[in-house]
Amino acid sequence: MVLSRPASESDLSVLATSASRYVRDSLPRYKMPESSIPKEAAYQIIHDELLLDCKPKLNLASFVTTLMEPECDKLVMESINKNYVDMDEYPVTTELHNRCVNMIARLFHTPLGESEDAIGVGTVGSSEAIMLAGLAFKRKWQNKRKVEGKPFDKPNIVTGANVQVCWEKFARYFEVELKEVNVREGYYVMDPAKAVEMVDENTICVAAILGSTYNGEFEDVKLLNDLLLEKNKQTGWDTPIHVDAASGGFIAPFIYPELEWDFRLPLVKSINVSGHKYGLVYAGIGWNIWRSKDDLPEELIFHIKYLGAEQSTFTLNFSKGSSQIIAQYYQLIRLGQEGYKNIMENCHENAMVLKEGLEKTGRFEILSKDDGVPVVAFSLKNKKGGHDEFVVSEMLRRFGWIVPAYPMPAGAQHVIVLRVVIRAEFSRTLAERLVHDITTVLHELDKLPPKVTSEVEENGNNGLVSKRKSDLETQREVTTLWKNYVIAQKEIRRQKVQHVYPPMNISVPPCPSIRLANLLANEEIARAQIGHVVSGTLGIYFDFIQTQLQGYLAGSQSLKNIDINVYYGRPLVNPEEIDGFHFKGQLYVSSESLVEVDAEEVQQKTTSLQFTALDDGCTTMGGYTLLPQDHAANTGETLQPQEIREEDKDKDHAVNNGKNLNDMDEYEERIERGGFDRDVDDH
Amino acid sequence: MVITTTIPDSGEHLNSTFASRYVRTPVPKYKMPANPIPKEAAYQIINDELMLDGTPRLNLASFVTTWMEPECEKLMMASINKNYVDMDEYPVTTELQNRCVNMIARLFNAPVGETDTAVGVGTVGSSEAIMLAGLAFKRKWQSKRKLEGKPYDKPNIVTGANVQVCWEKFARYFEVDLKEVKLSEGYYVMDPVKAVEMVDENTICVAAILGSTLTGEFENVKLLNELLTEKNKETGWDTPIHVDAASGGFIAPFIYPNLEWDFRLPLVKSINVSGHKYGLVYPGVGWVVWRTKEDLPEDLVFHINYLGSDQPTFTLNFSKGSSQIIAQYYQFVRLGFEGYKNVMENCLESARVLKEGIEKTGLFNILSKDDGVPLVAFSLKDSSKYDVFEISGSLRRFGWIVPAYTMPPNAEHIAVLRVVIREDFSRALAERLISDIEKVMKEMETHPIRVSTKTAHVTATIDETQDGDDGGKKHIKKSARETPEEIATYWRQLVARKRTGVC
Repeated sequence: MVLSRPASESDLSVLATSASRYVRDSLPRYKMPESSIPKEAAYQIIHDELLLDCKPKLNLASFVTTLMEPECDKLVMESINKNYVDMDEYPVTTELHNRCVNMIARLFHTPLGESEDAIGVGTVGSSEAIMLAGLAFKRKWQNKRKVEGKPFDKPNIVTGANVQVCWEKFARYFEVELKEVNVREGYYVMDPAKAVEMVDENTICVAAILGSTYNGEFEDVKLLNDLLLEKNKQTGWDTPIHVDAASGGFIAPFIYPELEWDFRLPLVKSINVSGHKYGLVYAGIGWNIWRSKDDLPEELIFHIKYLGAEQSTFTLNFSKGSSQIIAQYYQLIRLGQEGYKNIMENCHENAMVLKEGLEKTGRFEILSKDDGVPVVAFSLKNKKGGHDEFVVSEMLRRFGWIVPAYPMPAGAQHVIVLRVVIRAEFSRTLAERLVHDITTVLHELDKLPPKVTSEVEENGNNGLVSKRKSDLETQREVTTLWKNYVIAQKEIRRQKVQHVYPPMNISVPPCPSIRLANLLANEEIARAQIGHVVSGTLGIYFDFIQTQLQGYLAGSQSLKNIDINVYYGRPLVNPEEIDGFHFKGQLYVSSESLVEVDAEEVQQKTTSLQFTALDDGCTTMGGYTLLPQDHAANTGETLQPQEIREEDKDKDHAVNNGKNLNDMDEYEERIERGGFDRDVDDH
Repeated sequence: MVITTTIPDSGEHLNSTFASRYVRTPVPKYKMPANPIPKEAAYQIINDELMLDGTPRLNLASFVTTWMEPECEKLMMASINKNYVDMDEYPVTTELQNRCVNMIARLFNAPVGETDTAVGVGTVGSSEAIMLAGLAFKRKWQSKRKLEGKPYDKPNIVTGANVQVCWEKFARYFEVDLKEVKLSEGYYVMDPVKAVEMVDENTICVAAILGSTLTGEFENVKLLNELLTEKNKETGWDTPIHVDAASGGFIAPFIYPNLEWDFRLPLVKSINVSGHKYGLVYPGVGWVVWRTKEDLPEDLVFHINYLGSDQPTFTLNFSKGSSQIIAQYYQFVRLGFEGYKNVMENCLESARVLKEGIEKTGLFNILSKDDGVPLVAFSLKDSSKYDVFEISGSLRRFGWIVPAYTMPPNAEHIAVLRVVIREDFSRALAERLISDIEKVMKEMETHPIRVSTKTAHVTATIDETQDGDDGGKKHIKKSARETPEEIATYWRQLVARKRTGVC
């Protein structure tokens, strides 16, 4: 009678982990388990589950470094248990931090003597750095206004619409108004002239971006500086500039040493840079450098007596590991200027290889510039069959690549781009492989049934054309009808319910997408064309999808599907504001014949909402397919535009009065219950 | 004409690191070097310099975890290059974070159903957690006042004077007035009665500390809750409580399960806890948990839609590694309730041993309580001959980092030494520390230095820490020839000389 209980605890040391009982039990999700499990088992279980995460190296969405030398890994691991704030206990670590600050400050041409200490601080990332920089500007402005005896309660900050979400966070958390300069098609960064126009006496600073997240382009800081100097001279204000060089800060000094964007320009008072982007360190390190001591208000610095030693600190975080700081110092001295230069040149070179490869396919338009941060941003020239960049992104995932697709910021939302970030560890082989895989995807795309029937005409053989043509005609007919209807509806709205904008009190709805959906414009819809993107403003969206589109679906033979993509950008972008919440959104209307089945089945399946969120290049998609009963209501009802108009009028009114919110609640509920269908785009 | 270029000497790979030229040239301090150096040399240079840092394991000043199991280190290293914010790319990591939040919320008795999702967020540390919690209170108070049509520009927060500096930071950066309840001798935590007295209509919340940094004592949250409930009833205000359980959050549920300090009390709306303290993870993780969704104002939450589901985020930081989150989950799963309980009991036991040892010297008053966070805070009974700062300095020579500091306002004439008992501080180390303290005390008794005024104390402290390092270095150099006692004398004289200069 030996080994009869193979899963008993006492046998654990004998058994392989996968033979133990621990791999059989389901892991606790909500409550801490009662008893301990062996470390080997814990390791194996967690390790295996983490295999389902994407491979960091193939994540082309992110700027964040994913590979370092083993020697540096060793240093990182050795110092992972050192608490960075214990400056007294770990003086050398503090010293290394200061050296990094000094080196970076000098890299950015801070006006300093040979061995003068620079003013700067290491942070967890550029987010913290930006908040600290913003806080310094805010406090400085407040102090100035106080001295002048002027009101100091309405600070604002001017940036391009292409800023990273953390500026919006800063604005909202620290109660500063964010004034965004919209971009336009073909010019995707902040226009210095427009930015300077927006500056007023309450502007605490203008933030320029060196290396836009969207296409890697450098903003013209020099021009901004010149224009702002002039304006300052005229008005007597003293508006400074902050440069958000999160991604470009370690590129420009090495590849474009002549480019003036840093402390060489007199109005640039602080610069932040991410150590974990092209600073070539693992995630968790950023830097903020101030021009001089005067630019950092003294009252923000804490002189604390912590554990017996006096320290001056200006951070939002306190305890944290010191690994990343040591790793940054390692990279700075190991690589030196030459090493950084070589790496950045390699990145640039690989970006060019990828760019040329993409151009050669003849299907893409390149939106990124050759100069700037090594990213390649590209969009489809011709959305064959209605398959857009999101489809390409989704299909590339199957090969393991994560290539995000997202719309451009306010002013150019209708342009959708795919973006590949070239990091130091992205070698030429990988670049070539990626081009190869994209080509494969393009071929597959061509074979897919098209979304828009009219497209088939171009590809299809003769036999089909006549049949398709009638489809196309019908579709055009329907489109015209629909457009007319919407225009008519718009008229009614204008007359009847114009006064209800902003429409209703949308204070705390649970789902942003649906909330956004409520805010989209009716007027904009009027301008919508199949396959077009329109930018949204305030309005009601729900009656639109429910009554109009479905009505058309029900009545149409050829209009098989209407996709509504609500591009949920980042909050605080729009000039419109509701209850302190800003929005921007787009409505994307297209049609497709999803499958060749009878109309009823199609109706049940294919009216869908598709949401897209954009955040730091991390583009995500999801959608929601209306449940059959929603369609059932419409099935068989061949609604005439006039009839709908009548119904709609009442409904709108009710919704606008905030009385009939049932529909909205229903959707929200369903979405909360997880009724999502992430494969809406899977044709 | 071969090999005339000077670019990296060819002997580089043959030479041992210490034979290469890189250890001869001065390390760059102010400017980035122009040329690269081999990775081995870079490693060696940095590694060697870092040897002069204190040993984290012997740092008794800090609550922060300095030891983890090698299996967990492996997991951490494997995930160090994963950016925690890329929730779309790393869904499992996100899931693990959510599981941790759920586990912690339930540990704190948050009123959530069996499979409800708790509201909380992983942060870099308790500082970020406190700022987020404070911001939520501030925003909630603001919107309430706006609705009532009352002014909302003078928010304040009530805490004890024993709070950690990050509360002051929060107050200053987010423009909230910090009202501190002063301490008194013998009572080193916030007095709930006094705190409730200070509450007014502009108070966004009262912050109680579970495990005061100074003495490890738990504040009486239950009493605070009762008094505040009464006051709220009288005045019609709705002042909530935040519990800063940075160090006590992982102690109380295991050792004092019957102590009511958490969401069992109705006014407690949010709790923060440091994962990197008794959560037993390396520095860089903290947590804040809200009672319900309503306690976190929606307009502070940034929504990211990923994979069709709504992923709300509320953080001050953005990109960061995900190692610490994964390590936290490892600890929860690996140790379970039982494991945490055993660890905390061991810590308390070591604290007891240490306390008894210190008491036995007869020279110290113990200020920490037996209940609370496992730390021993003690002050000198008689500091006329020498003070705790000198003891702290002397202990450094043995490698121990034991901080000495003065108490906050109204008790600032008391200076204490504090030893934090962490998981990795074993009984053997505790006994060793006692014997080293005894040695130091013997020296002090035989070579006392007189200090005349209190002001000299403080100035001297700063000098001392710097000199302490010098002393340490000299100690290394001379130890071969001279006895430690002689060096101690020399060093003490050095300090004495400095001090007279200051005076």
